[in-house]
Amino acid sequence: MITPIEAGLLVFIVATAVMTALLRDVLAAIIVFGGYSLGMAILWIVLQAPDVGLTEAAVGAGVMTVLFLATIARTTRLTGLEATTVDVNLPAAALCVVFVLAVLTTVPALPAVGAGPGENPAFGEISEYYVEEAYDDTHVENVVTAVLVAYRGFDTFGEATVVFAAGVGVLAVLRRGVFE
Amino acid sequence: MSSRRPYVESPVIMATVRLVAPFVLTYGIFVTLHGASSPGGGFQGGVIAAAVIIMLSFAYGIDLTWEWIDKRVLVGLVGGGVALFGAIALGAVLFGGQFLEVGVYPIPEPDKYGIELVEVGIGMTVAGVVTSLFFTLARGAMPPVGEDGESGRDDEGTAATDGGTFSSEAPGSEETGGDGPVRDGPDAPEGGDRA
Amino acid sequence: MIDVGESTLLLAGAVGTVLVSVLLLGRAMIGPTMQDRVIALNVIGSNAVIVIALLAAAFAEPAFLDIALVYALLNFLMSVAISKFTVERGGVL
Repeated sequence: MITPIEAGLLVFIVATAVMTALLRDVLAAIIVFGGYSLGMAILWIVLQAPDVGLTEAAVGAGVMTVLFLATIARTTRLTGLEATTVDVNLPAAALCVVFVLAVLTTVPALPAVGAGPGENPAFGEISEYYVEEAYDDTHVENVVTAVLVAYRGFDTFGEATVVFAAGVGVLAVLRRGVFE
Repeated sequence: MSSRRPYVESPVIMATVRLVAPFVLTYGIFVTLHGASSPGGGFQGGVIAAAVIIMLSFAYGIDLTWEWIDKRVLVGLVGGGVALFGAIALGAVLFGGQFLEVGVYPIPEPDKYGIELVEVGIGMTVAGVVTSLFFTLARGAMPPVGEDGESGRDDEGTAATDGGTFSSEAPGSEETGGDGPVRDGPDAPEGGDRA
Repeated sequence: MIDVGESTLLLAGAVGTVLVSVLLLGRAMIGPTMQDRVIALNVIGSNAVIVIALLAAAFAEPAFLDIALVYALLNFLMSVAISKFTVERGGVL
């Protein structure tokens, strides 16, 4: 069942997402997108996922807005617009709504929140094993870190390499006039 | 880039950043090092630490901060983080374990501290990459000064289209396009479109 | 251990603060000038700190306060970045 705080947060998040798409001014869209990030961080906390919430908080408040601003500073931005929002293509919007409704009909097929290990594949034996045995195996209190580094070390090593490679790639592309 | 007029800082922002930045850096290191016992880890801590540099750039000017930073440290962070991760992963083989089996190191609680070291490596890489990305994007946004005839870069885009007016970053900069490298202080552009 | 009544009270406070944030979103939407939007975002960020702190108390999870701390430290960075961009265009960004 959806608690009141989840309902309020979902309203907030959906409103910010739609407004980000609709606002005509790019800077206003970036500002509203910052609000979206705030709402998502709170929602992760409500769902008891503080590690993801911390990531969202650090990236959303610290870096993402600034990078977006630098990007629109590099390009140009329309000002002095009369209309606040873009014109919505009504048939396309209707098609999107129909598609979302079609996807929503599959929701009852999902297992209920908090279902037992037998019914819910996402909370099967493996995650139970992690939650129960992670401390004895690794002496790390935070299960997320234990899973990330100890159980899935290869994956994390690949991620670190991907961050490294992506950074080097972006710097190689954008390097002109910066590193000299 | 030394011919550029220093950015006129806002005293409020400078005072705030001077007060807050040490705590943010400390907190970023804390999040990196305490990923094992509290929420967080290398990625989050690295981003928070990189936010310190972004903060300093907004307070003291991007160019000054870029000149202040030692680029070798930046490259060392990006490469050294991955190298540290790989060294820890490979070092386990030396002590008779398997690749990434950090539990074999001859230190107290090898699992926990091995994981912490790996998190430090991730944090170094992320902090370096985010800082470099920020400077790459933000410094490119500056109108180039002292370069060879490049200062009229995107001023061609200021033509009005679609009922709105494009506001570029320096509306009066095309007349200084061919004047050579001096150009100190086209401050207060008279564009009149400061919302 | 927090008893049920106190936890419900804290959650109710969090819900109220979230509703205030939804109202503030209207100002971010229609705000005629960019300054209105920046202030609205700043207040939403302060509300996020409050909501996260209330949730940490309600769930009896002190670790959640770390995230509130991140927002408390970094929220002003977002506002400062946008303000500098709007006010001093051609200056720092």
